[in-house]
Amino acid sequence: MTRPIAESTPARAALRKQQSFLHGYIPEAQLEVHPSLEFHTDADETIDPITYEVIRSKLWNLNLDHGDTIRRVSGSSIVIEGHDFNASLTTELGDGVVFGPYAIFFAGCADVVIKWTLEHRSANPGIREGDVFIQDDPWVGTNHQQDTAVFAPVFRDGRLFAWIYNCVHQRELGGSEPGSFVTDTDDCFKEASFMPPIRLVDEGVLRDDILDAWTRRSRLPDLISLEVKSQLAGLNFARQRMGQILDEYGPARVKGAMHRMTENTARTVGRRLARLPDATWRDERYLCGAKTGDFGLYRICLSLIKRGDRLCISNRGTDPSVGSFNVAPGMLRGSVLAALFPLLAYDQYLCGAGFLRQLDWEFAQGSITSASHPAAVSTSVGSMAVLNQAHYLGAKMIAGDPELSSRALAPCAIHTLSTAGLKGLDQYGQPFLDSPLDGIAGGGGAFMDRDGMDHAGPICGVIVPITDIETSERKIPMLYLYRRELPQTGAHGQWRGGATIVAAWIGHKTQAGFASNGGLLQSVTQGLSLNGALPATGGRNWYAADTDVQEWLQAGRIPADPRELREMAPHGGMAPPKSLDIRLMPQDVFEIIPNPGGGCGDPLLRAPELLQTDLREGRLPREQAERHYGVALDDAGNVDAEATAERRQALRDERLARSRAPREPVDGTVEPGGAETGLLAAVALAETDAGRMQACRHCGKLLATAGGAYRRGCRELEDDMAALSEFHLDPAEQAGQRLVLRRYICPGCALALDAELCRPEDPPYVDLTLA
Amino acid sequence: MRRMRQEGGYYVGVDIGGTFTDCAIIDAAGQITTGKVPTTPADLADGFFGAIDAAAAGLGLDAERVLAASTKLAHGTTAGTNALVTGQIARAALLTTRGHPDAIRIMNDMGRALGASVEEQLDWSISSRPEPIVPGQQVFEITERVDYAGDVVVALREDDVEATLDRFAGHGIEAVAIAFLWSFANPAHEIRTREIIQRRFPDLYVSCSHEVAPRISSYQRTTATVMNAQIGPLMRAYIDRIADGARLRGYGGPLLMAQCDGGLLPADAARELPVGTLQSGPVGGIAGAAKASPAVDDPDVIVADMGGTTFDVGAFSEGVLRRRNESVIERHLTHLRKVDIESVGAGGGSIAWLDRESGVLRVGPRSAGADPGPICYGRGGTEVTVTDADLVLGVLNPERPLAGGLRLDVEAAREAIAELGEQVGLDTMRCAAGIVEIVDRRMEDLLRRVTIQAGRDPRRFSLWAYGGASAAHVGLFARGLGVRRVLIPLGETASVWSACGCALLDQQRRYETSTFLKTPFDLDALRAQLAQLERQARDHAGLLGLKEGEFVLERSGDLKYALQVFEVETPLPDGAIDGGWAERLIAAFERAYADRFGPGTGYAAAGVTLTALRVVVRSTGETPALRRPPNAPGVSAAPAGVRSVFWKEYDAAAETPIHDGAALDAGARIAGPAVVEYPTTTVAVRPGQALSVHPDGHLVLDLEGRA
Repeated sequence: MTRPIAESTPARAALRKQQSFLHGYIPEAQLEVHPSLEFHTDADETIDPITYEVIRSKLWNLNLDHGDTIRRVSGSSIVIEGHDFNASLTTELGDGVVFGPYAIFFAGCADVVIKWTLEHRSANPGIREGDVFIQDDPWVGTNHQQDTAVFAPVFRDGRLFAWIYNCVHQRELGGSEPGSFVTDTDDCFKEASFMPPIRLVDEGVLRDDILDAWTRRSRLPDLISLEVKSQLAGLNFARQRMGQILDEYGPARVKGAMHRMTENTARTVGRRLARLPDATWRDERYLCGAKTGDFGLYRICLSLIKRGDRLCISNRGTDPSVGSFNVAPGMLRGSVLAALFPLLAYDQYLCGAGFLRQLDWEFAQGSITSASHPAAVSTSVGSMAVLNQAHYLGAKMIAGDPELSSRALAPCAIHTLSTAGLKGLDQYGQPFLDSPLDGIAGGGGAFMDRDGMDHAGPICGVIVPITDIETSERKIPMLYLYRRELPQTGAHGQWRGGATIVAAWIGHKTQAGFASNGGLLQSVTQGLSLNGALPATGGRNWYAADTDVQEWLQAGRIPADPRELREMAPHGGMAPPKSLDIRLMPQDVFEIIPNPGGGCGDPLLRAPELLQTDLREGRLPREQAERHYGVALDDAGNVDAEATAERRQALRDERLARSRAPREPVDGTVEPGGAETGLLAAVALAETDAGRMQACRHCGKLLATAGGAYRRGCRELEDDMAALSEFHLDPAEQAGQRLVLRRYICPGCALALDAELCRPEDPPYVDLTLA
Repeated sequence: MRRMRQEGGYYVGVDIGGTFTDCAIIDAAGQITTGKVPTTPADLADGFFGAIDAAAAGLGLDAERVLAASTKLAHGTTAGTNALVTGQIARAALLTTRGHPDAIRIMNDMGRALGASVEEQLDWSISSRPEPIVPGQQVFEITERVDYAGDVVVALREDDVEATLDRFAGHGIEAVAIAFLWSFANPAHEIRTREIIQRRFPDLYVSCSHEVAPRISSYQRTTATVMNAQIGPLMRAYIDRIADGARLRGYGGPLLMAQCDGGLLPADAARELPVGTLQSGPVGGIAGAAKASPAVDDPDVIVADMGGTTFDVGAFSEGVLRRRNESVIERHLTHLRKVDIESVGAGGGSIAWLDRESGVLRVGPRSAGADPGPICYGRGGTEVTVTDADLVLGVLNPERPLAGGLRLDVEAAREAIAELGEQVGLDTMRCAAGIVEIVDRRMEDLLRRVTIQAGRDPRRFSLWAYGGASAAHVGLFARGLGVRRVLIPLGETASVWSACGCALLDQQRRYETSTFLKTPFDLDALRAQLAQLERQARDHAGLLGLKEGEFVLERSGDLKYALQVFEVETPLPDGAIDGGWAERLIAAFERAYADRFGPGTGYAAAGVTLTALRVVVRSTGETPALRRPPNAPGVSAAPAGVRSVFWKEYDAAAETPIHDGAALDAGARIAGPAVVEYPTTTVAVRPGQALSVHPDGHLVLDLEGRA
């Protein structure tokens, strides 16, 4: 085994630093650290189970209290209501043994930030007891410039024992847009400037020069100063509490518990990975809209390469970075880790280091999802897109395994991130910039055995609330016409996605009101479903100027749902995408539909009882029930089971007739459900006389050889997205891009096994390759 | 031996819990007599008067004699909570502003997290959202709209209300909640709607959100109003039954209902605002402690109530309780102002289990509750609990049945712990001790959060431990906190402490309004709002027959820094409302903010916002100093026997003296290890610790073994 620490040489260190600034820092197995820094590595590896559990619980609580201290001192809505922060305790080498139940992607960034600091700050200016560092360099390891890490070494007996780290989304650090999300740019020079790790506290003394340098670039420097101080207060608390725990249990036992926490998580994740066949699962998809005025399609790719108990993540094949929606490599790591935590480490109390131990990485340098300097990264759009992609692909990977599949769930809220905010002059005559956050109130993805949760929120955090209507109306010059559930919106499938909401705003009591409409173009949905279900809509932001709404209200009429709104304002249409100055005065209406959850399984398999409930509760329009689910109703409006079975068979026949023949047809069938290894929810590896073959799990139809690509043995059924429901948009209309929904249909049973959104001319990419 | 007591002037407190109904009778000299009977779910009034009977028997009287001679009858109940939990509630309609029927379903996107454990939040496969508190078909949209300033944007369409009422019969509606947007800023539409409803259905129970919870945030205000309507008919009947029963038994005063904000409300008012009784359970305990603490020179107290399923912790300084404006009830966030108490899922019923993934022993958060309960209850429980561990360790007496006569099965508990221990590589006793260690350390962390994390120095505080399981565990969970001392109030009374506290609460009623005044404050608006609240408060005092001098008005405001989130309740200065007054208010807020969140944590540059005004009218009256005199001092406290108890400190079992609590004398001192037993309370005096009996009957545990 390689020793984890090597001595640095100035020449090599300079080269490595230069590389990290350009392509992003990814630590190697051996860190190069200046010999003057001594490490406290004593660890009692034989700690008894009671002491272990007590220390584990204490470190978890210490970390929660660390987070609470930040919340208390900062008083920031982003921290307290948005939960956009995290705290951690790491080993002496920066491996995070515990994170808080907040924004989980920070777990993939904390370790790289500390390791970078060990490598590049141990010689100069040095790392000493009482020091605190601050940094927001995306290429050292953070999501965007606003996400500021503040972290401190913990020494014991003069040797470096551990680190305490926190990262907070600071509200305003400058750049060309207030709030520091800069949409209209091609590089980071219009964004907030950023700083690699610098020493903010010098052996216990806060450096005013550094604090001034940090806050000077902000439009709200005093507030940023307070946010930094909240982070320092969190560190001070955690360091003090850590000292008490070390006094009580001794450093060796505490380190032993930290190691055991990491090992337990690594072993658990490894055991779960080992259940899966050695294979590569791959996703390729389009994002649309890289910056203001851009309607281009860009491909992002991700592979999960599973070997034994390890998983390698590769984004090879992703298009070069472009516009303002890129991600630096550290955050790719953060996004992927956040996406995989609920799938493979849901019970491991957010021990990032243990999970990361089982992961390997291949970065496509200079790509959208591993952007090199000076790409623009401030919008967070790419981070959320790749987080969703990793979540989708991870769920697809585990969906074939009988034990792990219960954790698979389809894409959740903000899979197709759109951000809508407001700005202008508020009702008190003051300038304002704010958002009621309706856009994140999307649905949860479907599970393999139940429907997704309605407006369950995104997977990237544990709790991400939206603002209450009254609270928004009191501080923003707006009036809600409605905010209601849209029960029909959950993606169609055997198990349906969770529903989203719809909200409509008008300007109210303002002299100057504007809405912004940022994020991805919604027609190119990222809400791809699992296992042959239909994709969820990417949402729909709609706008109408100069309506009769005030006349309606005066006459005692409220346009209280989307239908009535369109009756009142038939001239409305899609809100201009990536636009920051859409007028919102009392005569204008902006309507927002966030992302519902993705579905799971072919809709033709949905149980008639569930469909009956869907129809009764207004979750499914009758026309779609007939078209997507093959439902036949009797005269009383009840699902007629027999007629439904017939109608479903007719739909299967129609699919076979309408679809393109397999590109590489394979003959033969096996008994479904026999001795098989699940590769996907609907595809398994079966033993046949001709050797191992990929087969449909529904009917046993053989689709490919073991080493082949099952999709090429499937029929291909293509549909226009806009035909799926009134909530699905046509990419041709919104972005001038022709994209189709392509479903891979089993030639035997005609059930959909998988689906993608692609150009008609795209050949099927290989989403599954057995090792 | 029965002492002679002065008859009359009794304060009677009755607390109905899920399992037991407790009564405490306090006489004019502060002496306490208690009664405990099983709760009677079929008719809770039976248990109510049964408990008074049981306590009265201790005085050699019956319930009639006691009630006829009582000056105060206070009642804390879980009847409303139980109704919500079990769904035995009225079929309520919810009337909302048109366009906004789904606030209770959307839950501001917090549904997955509210009231869920961190384990449920991290593992989506066991995550869920609660059912909406009102089914969709019982939600009706009414055309009307008011804005943030209270200005009418769309006038109330009365034809809409009438048409909605036509549909009530088809839905079997028994109660109505009206929750319109911004009704607290302008209640006219809610009031008019109620008039229309009452004209058609005079007997229907109607709750208006501007009365139940006049605070901003439509979701939380709506849930509070709905819950009030759902439990309204039931609670109205329940309160009437008890009030009538008390009157029939000769009680001449008003029945007073305990509220979760720490006061008592007369039955007449409580039956219209029954939501205030929700989560009032833990309040009697802490509020009672706040009342009783000056008599024992404990101005600053942390209270710790360890029961079967939860561990509740609160704190106060100089008798002043902190309150919070929101509560989570049945996984819904609601505007229910209550005394600030933190809870964790840790109690006697917490389940110990093996985490098979990592081979680690864990305790909680699941609980076996009271049913099936611990394995040793023999009611079908199959999972090891903390109580099982206490029993196997020898801390609990296997020979002593629980109140209600239930005998404990120590063998079954031992067998199960042995099996669990084998899986983690520990022998039975070490496994049992480990279970206790894990749960107690978690409770210690919560105590730490409520003290140090909340800016309180534990060295100034006493820890009061009460509730069924506290006395057996406090010696462990209080160690390492550095509190001044540990007190188990009135020994055996610890297990009925909530009933006792209930009897001590003051009558109070709160009038409040949400506002949004930024600095410089609009003083005219502020004056007008405050005057309105004070008028309501004085009217209420008049209704209670309170004269000047018999009540106080406590005025406070919620303030925040404009660009920050936390609101801090700040007492309003006295005097005329002018520029100087506003400056004093802001200065007081800044001090309170710094006390709570640390110096320099406020961002003053953006100004200060006043978000709520509040006037509480509170009756003032003498509270007797509580006493439960032990035997006359001087008699020695010899143990009643010995039992083998496993002590972690020795990593071994030791023959341990067992004392009968009833036989302890004032001034008696017992060195650990020892166990002191009362019929419903067991005190563990750990090795190195010492217990002494306070002259008033409290037990004082010295963690350092001094005293």
